[in-house]
Amino acid sequence: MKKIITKELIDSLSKLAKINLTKEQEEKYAGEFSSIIGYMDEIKTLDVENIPETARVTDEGNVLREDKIEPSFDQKQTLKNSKNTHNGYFLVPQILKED
Amino acid sequence: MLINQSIKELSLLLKKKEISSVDLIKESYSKIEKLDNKLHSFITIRDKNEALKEAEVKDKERKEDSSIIYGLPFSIKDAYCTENFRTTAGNKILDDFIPPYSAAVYKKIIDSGSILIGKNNMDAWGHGGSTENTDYHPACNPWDLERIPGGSSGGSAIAISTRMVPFSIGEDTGGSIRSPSSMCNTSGLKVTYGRVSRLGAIAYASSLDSVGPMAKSVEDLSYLLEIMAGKDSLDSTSSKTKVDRYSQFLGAPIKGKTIGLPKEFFGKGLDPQIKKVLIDATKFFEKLGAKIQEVSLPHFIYGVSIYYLIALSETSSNLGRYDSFRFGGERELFSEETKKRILLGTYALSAGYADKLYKKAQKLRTILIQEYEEALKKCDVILAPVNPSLPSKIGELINDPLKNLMEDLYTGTISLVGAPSLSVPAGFAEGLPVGMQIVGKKFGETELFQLGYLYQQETDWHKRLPPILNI
Repeated sequence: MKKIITKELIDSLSKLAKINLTKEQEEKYAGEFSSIIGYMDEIKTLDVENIPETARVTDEGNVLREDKIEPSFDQKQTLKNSKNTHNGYFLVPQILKED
Repeated sequence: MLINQSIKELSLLLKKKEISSVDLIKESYSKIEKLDNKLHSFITIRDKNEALKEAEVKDKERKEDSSIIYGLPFSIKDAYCTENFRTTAGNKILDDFIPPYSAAVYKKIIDSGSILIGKNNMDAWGHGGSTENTDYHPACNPWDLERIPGGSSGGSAIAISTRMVPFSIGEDTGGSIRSPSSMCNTSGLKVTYGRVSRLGAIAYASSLDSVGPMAKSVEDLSYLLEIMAGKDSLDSTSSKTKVDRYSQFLGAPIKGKTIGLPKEFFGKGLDPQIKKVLIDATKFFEKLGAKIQEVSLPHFIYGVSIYYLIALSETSSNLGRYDSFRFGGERELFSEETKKRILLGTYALSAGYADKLYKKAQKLRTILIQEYEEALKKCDVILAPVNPSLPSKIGELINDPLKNLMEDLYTGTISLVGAPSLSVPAGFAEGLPVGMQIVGKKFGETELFQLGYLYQQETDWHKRLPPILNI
């Protein structure tokens, strides 16, 4: 079958989604994705001009509420599932380099 | 075996003090201790003494007007946050996650007095229809241990099928309540989108996720939905539509109702043995006075593509929040199936492909909704298969990615229109359970319960127990 999805494309998708893959996985996924996307290509021929998109199936419209303060989590509860905290903050990796 | 009785019967026996919640809790744990090392229906089991202590309190404080589920043991799919109790959604990223709050549905069940026994096994994040894509132990079908129990709410269906618990709470995005209900011979309801609050349900695909009850019978489901349903100010997609007293409307006659059979659902791809079970059910309803009407949903043959393009796009976005900073482990821990789903979703949403794939799928979703509404002008409900094939051997679907997707052919398409669908046991093939879906109008759960209840009054498929209980 024609490889619609190449290893290079898998590599770029994995960077976008921040998912590290091994070379073997890239190879395997390229094959599997080609067959799945190949199957889904069936929708490409369908005519959907002038059809609106559906993003939700509720009829609720805009749901508004009064902007008032409700009880919420305290700092301890908020931080308890984090593996890296410092002085009551979440600790995250440095993203800006010092020059 | 006490837990073989209906919720209504158990409640009555408890109120008459002929049995106690302590008896029920003991029975639950003894079943779990005996069977769960073979079935793997639980990821986390609650400390037995803690549950027993709670049962003692419930036995003391029970009143005449206590809720019908007061003092009953129950389990819940591990997709729901339970305050101060481990919640993994079936995956190692959340292996040590202790939620600081509870899901709305869990809170409603607990506030009604039911006693949590444990959290059920599932395909990680709901990614799968087999409960073998769990990061814990693959779950096994109690009717044949070498086969899948369906999924992703497989653990819940196993626990009900083997009477470890009288009921459980599942979650259905593209069939995750209906498929395991069918494969384990239990009853389950995928509610109308918005009928039950999704607050605290760990998201798979937000425009499709729905919270529903799973139990031994349609009657039990009707009682549970009364408790679970309703508007939640913290879930803006939950509906203000009035919640019926579903259990009060059971037993209505079927005469004059029209049942639609979509011709696209009975063609290529459907196992002939499953087709036969469905035809028999149709004849049954016809005998009781229902009219059978063929209907057509022409675009439903594209349902799997549309469903997956939307669901995977949404899951890649939802799982983007797992950065390991505030909670959870590193993204390295995503399982193979989840990595694939995130990457496929990223592809469908990425520049150059979004118009051709994601947006096109959303437009086709509109067409499906229109066709569905058109079909329901000709009939009251639609009867459909749940799965295209009998439960496969464990490992089979993992090695066949396309077959894996096709499992959702009849369920995912219905999720796209937001309609409610009831899965009820309808027969057996090769000794394995086969269910059917009764699909209705949005917020038409009452009608589905009526038909399902009537069917279960006249048939005994749902009462049959898996052979593992005789060992």
